[in-house]
Amino acid sequence: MTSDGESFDSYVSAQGAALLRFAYVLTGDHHLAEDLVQEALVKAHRRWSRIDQPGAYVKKAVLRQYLSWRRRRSSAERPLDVPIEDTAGLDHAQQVADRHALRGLLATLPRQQRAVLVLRFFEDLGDEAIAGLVGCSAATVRAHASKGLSRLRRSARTVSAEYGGNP
Amino acid sequence: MNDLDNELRGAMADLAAEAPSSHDLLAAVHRRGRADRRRRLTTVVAAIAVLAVVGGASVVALVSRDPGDRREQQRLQVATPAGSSETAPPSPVDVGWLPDGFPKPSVRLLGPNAWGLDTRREEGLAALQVQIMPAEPDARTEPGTLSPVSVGGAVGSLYWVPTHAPGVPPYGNRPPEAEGPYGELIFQRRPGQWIRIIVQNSAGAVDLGITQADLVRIGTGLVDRERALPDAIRLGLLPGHVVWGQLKNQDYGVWADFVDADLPDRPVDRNEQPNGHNGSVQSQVSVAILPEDALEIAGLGQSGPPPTEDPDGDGLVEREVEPPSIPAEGKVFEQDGRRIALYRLRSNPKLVVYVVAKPSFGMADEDLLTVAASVRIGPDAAVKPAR
Repeated sequence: MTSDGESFDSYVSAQGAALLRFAYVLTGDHHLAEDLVQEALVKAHRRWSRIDQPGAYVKKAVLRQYLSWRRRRSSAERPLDVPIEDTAGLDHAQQVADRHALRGLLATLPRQQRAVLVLRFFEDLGDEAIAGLVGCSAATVRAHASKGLSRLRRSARTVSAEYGGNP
Repeated sequence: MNDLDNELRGAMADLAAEAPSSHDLLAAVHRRGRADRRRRLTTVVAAIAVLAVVGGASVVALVSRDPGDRREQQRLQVATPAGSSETAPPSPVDVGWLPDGFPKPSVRLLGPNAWGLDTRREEGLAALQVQIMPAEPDARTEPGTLSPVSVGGAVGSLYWVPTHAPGVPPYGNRPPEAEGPYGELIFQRRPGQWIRIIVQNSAGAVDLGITQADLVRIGTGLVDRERALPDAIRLGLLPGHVVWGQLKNQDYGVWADFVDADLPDRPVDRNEQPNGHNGSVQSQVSVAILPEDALEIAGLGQSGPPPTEDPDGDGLVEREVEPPSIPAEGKVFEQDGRRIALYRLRSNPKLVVYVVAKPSFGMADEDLLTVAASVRIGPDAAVKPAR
């Protein structure tokens, strides 16, 4: 039981789907999302009785593992390959702006920028709360968000111009 | 908010709608925890072997409580024969009609004098639970729609969330509504007997294939027919003045929770859902049969020194834990102010009986052990021993 008496099983039953959604938006990968959530929950289970706020704890664990996983994989990744291929099949620039293309572009962002944008736009968290989860200052959060958004705009314009649409 | 912000929110909502299902998550976490535990044990055994080779094996004794540090003497005696879960109060109600594809429901104990009849189908994915309880439950009111309905002449309430993608407005991020279609019918079947029928799936935009009229038909079709609980755990002894509160029969453990016999009638927790035990029953004593490498047991081991580095690089450092030693006569451990008795099951030493009581309940260590020693596993138990 946590300090508020919630059992681990109850927590997982109630919040598991939301955690998987968060992890999937973060990673864009089914297997990785399941892996991150399960691993975070196993860690949380070991110390459940000492966790006051399981929601924040587990989310932080998912996030930290995502950042860590990406660090370990980063040397082998060529992230820019994926979205261009994804968007290459689109007929015109307008489609570049649509959500599907944006999902592809989102996948090209460096891990911290993507994490910050997911926390801001999917979880609706403020900069201070994001800073606490990511483990950096609020100013750094703003910098990551700014760079991430700029990069998305640039990528969208590049792809848009390549396929003849308006940015 | 500019266009890119809006597009990002929309793109992320689209992604969320494709997230993996949480249906098997809890069982997967328990399985993974056990596998992780086995891996850690292997590491610890190897480390001890290395230490022994260099001539310095260290043995860490588990801390036992000072005999003078007695808590308040228990106010209850271990005396009342409790029987098995099969002889616990049976559900007084059974289903008479179900939509096509649903197999015969299993029976769960959700609370004192409260049961759940659970069934699910994969084609037309839906989980269905009929809850029987002694008091009127709270009805959900939003973000779905709540409307009155006649159920065999009784006035009931029907709450309905249509098929929708997960996380889309107005269904937000709060389960169960956020995860997909959801229906809930509540009515009083007879004095002192309330029914809540829940049907749902967590697959998002996948239709239930069940109508509101179907829910009402399930309600009117209920029959007075006893359904026994599975014979999963048998207890020879229990403290007096407690009654069955909850039974959970899973592959990661069989849990029997007992509550104060004077607990007033109350409805099943609103969070109790077909996908798992979500409700709390204010148990005074819990008795479980667990695999020996279950996390609940591993957590009673002796922690090593704090790690000096974070090998995973995830910011969450872990101490290695030496597994608890459980002698033949059982042993009582302390964790966060609670006393927990462990006792190896005689019929299968890879399974461990785990007994814990609320500190305020005042059970002595000897009583915890006596209860643990009286436990036997039933033929219907779903728990799987450690490999």
